[in-house]
Amino acid sequence: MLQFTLRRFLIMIPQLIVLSFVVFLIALAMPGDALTGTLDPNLTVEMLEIQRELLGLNNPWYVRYWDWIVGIVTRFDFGRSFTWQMPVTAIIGERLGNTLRLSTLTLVIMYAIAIPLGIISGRHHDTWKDKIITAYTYLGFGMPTMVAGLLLLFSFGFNLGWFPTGLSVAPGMSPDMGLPYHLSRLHHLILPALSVALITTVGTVQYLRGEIIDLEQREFILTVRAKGADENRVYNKHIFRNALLPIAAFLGFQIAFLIGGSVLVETVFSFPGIGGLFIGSITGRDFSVMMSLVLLFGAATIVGSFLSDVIMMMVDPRIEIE
Amino acid sequence: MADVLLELKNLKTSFRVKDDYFAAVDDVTLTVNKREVLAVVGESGCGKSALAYSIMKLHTRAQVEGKIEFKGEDIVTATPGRLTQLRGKEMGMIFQDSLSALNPLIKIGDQIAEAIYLHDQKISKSALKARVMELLTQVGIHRAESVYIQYPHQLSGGMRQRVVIAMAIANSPDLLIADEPTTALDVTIQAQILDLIRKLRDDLDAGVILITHDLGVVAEMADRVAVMYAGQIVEIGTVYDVMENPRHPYTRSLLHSMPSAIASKDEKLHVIEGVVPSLPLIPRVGCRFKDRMDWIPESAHEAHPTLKEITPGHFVRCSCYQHFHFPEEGVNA
Repeated sequence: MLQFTLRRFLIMIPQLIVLSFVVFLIALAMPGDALTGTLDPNLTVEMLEIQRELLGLNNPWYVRYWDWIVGIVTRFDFGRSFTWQMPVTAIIGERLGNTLRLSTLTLVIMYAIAIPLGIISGRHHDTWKDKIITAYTYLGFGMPTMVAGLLLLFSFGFNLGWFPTGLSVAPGMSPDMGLPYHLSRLHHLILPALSVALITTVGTVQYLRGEIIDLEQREFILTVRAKGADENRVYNKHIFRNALLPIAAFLGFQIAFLIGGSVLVETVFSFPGIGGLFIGSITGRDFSVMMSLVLLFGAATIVGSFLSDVIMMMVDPRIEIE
Repeated sequence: MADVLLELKNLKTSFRVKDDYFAAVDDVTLTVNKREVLAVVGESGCGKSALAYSIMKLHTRAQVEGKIEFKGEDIVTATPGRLTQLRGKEMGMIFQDSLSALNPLIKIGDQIAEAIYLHDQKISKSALKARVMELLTQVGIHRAESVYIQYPHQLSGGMRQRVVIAMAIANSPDLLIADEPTTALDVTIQAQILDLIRKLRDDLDAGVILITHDLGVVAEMADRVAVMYAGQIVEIGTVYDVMENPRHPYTRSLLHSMPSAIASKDEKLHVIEGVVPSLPLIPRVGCRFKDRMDWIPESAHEAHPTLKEITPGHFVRCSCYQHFHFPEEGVNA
């Protein structure tokens, strides 16, 4: 098992190299560069050209790719942001924490909704309980996250005033205030997390429902009944455990999806996470930030699939090292 | 008849297909005595397994009507709580496909232990394990210690079938229902498993319902035989009655399609044309086997065939048996 994990871990290295290359090529293919939008009457075209030369923008692509990779690997240097005039790592680091907190809470709420609803819906399928839950899942499939976000923002944030309508912490709070600071942060996370969770969880609810209905027909469930187990034990011990397999396998991807997929909700809630930063970096041609973020999203997917494989191996004894 | 263990009377088990219920087991009446092996034979889809599952009411969505009396107690009206007490304790079920009959995520030992624990929740951990080891040895698994911690997919088919049997007999049930216990196994393992079931019958004094489509197994194991077609019993009697003196056209056709032990190359096996009708398509009136012997005139069949006792203990459904002949035989008067 350790051997498998290690091997599976090593596979990520070539994956990351390919990813970095693709990210670089995509950025290369985009028109313009960081100096394209510079509108300063004091600068001449020649001065911009000198600047380009200094920054290495005129080097052949393989030299630039190499410089970029060497910087990342040896100095953890992702370059400087032109827009913010700060190291990329500093800008992303500041916001990544917010996004990670948001995704963690989203994930917790998602499963807190999906597991009970999926179980009820699957165990009592075709009853009124199931019909209500299924109706909710269709609503979730049909409604974009940002619409849900706006609705929650309008009713609970704006009208009722129970939750803040933006930012990640109340203005004026600082970490040295201790508990009130952390509570304020949590308070700011709830609405955005809820709006993503309520929508994205419906897939998991349906998946769980389908798994349970499918497993209920399987012969080993008859075996369990034939041994004298009551229905609660049949469902809670035998069906539930098997039904969780695909859900557990999906967890890794879910994490990757949440880190990369929070762009819209962060915009709706003016939440200072990496989603907003990403959009800004594209419109501002802030290549170093944009490339680093695409790299981060891609890496999150690669790590997510690694996690999925490891989780799968831990929960399903049938999966063995090949 | 003394020592009746199980009595089924007009048992009818229906499943929902779209919006209607269709009977997969229709009007089945039979008894199983203590220490008796009753074989139930028939083609795939004739309702054998549905019958087996009905006796323990395993299909939660099936509708079971009629009477199932087990040791004097009515199973049809038993509460779910009472059923869980009976299942696994007084009645054991051996399933056909041992790979799908075991939970893939749980160790063999724990799955067998569950069968004991469910009926004795006060048992100590060490006693539980000792009992599982004993069961594994009893069903002929020698490396019990290592099998205990293995998962179902790590065992061979024969080993898994033994595990399934160990679970079924964990609490020494009075009735053992074996649903094609040897179908998925190769011949040498088959013989071992059948020996095991026979030995268990003797050791436990249990009644056995052996569901199979292997007539060789029937001849070897059974005391009495019930032949099922399209959800109904068409012939039932002692193994001698049914195997040596078959009367119903279906029984005769089945036996006729079995190759002799040493078949000559040009021996042509009998083929029963057509297939068992699927559940919604089973003819509900008249002789259900009629369509598969269309050379027999309509007048030979009864309008509402019932089981009739032709010699003591030997029952046959529909009068058509008196007029039946194989197509190649020509009419015998």
